[in-house]
Amino acid sequence: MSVPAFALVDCNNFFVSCERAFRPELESRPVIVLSNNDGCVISRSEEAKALGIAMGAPFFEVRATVVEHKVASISANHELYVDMSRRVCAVLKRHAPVIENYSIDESFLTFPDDKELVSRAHAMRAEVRRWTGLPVAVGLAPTKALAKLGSDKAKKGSGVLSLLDAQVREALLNETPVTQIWGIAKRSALRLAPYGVRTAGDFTRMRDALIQSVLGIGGLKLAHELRGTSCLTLADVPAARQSMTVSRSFGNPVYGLEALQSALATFAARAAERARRHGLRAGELNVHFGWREDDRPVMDGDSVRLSPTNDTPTLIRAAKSLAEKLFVEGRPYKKAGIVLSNLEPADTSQSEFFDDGSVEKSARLSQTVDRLNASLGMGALRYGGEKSSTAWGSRCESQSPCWTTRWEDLKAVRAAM
Amino acid sequence: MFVASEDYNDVGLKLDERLIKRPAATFFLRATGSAPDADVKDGDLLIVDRGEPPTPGRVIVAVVRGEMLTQRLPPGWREDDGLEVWGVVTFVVRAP
Repeated sequence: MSVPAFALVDCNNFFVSCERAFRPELESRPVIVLSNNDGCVISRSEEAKALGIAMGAPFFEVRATVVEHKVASISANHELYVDMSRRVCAVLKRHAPVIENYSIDESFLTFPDDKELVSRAHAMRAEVRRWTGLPVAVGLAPTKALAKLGSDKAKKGSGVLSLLDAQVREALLNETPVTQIWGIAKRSALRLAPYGVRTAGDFTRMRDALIQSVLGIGGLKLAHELRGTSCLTLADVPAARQSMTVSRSFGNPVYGLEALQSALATFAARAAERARRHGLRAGELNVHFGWREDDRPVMDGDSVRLSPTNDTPTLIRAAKSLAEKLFVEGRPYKKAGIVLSNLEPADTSQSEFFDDGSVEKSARLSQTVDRLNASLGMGALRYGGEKSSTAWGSRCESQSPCWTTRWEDLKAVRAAM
Repeated sequence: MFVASEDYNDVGLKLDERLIKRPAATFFLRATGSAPDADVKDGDLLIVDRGEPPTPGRVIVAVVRGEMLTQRLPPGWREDDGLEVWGVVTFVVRAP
């Protein structure tokens, strides 16, 4: 057995589970949580997944299903989720001294030694469940990438999956589509397809030089990790995501630059909020448009490099000026979107060339707006340029009280005689 | 003898230390209605520790048909009774 082993603890359907912790009546009912800004599905209970509700789907697309199957749809309450996340981490720290909060619902950790890891993982999982009410899955493996795969698969089983055994590992990799691997985006999978790579196992058996030429050094590192050679330590904090996309198709074609810019401003605000929530900054922003020409879908887009930022006004400005560059009068635009890429952790940027204090001030403003939006409901506060009521927007359902962070919001329990 | 006052910056009694054994597992709830048997009155602030093991005679928050209720566990209660315990009420805060 290789030591030290990594564990990834992943909260199942985190936002939904936080809601259920205080609303047991939602147990075994289909539940979805919608983002504040634009009402997209950001968390689904297993029952909601079984109904075919897709992650990221805008509410209007799933409304019929919601009505037909009485799906509880709840507007996100990030104040609650952050507090619950903190509690989960506090429980994990009782079991493992070193933990890395990878995202709001995932933490990597290492145990101080390698004795009886599986039963310790079970004990840790049970304690998180009992203390916080939240179900978690744990993956155990010699590397972070494998631990991640283990936790994904553990959700379907007993809640703990150990990939410490090389044979178990190999069997799992051979039955796992390469697209399910952490860090392999659809585009990377397409580039691997010509080499006959279908499963994660196929990927690990490629020659190093070939992997590097197709996916670069990042891809090679990943291959090593999947083979069981640890390349990422807890100190390395890889960006939780490679990129963040916010895009929508319009119900009716949009012809005006102003309308496109206002849509993009909203997307930029949402992406910025998401980046801040994940503690990331973007080094690049892409704007793209889609329309139809001769009944064929056509896309156009352009990118701009940024001094790494997650500041809403900065990203809105960048998105709007790219839109102006790309815009062609008379085109029946059917789709617009932005992509934030070159993501990096917000606290480790070295490149702040233009720091005159305004960066800090703006960051504080962005956080305040996020907090107020979280507390007052979706998009209560907007930056100039963000659209207030739109044909392409959707609607927000009620938000839960801040049960754990506000005295006036405490959960009421009936005293039973 | 000279004593620097900074040495005593942290003295004083903190209610959290007294009332909360497991911060990560402790939640504040508000009681509605009264249950004399559980010494709970309408409007009481309940300090509930989900990590505290429930035992017969303790006041708990239970989940009954999807609803959270506070009650006292009967003397003969056992863990496999089927009652879903949400947490144990460790303190009740009330103005006299």
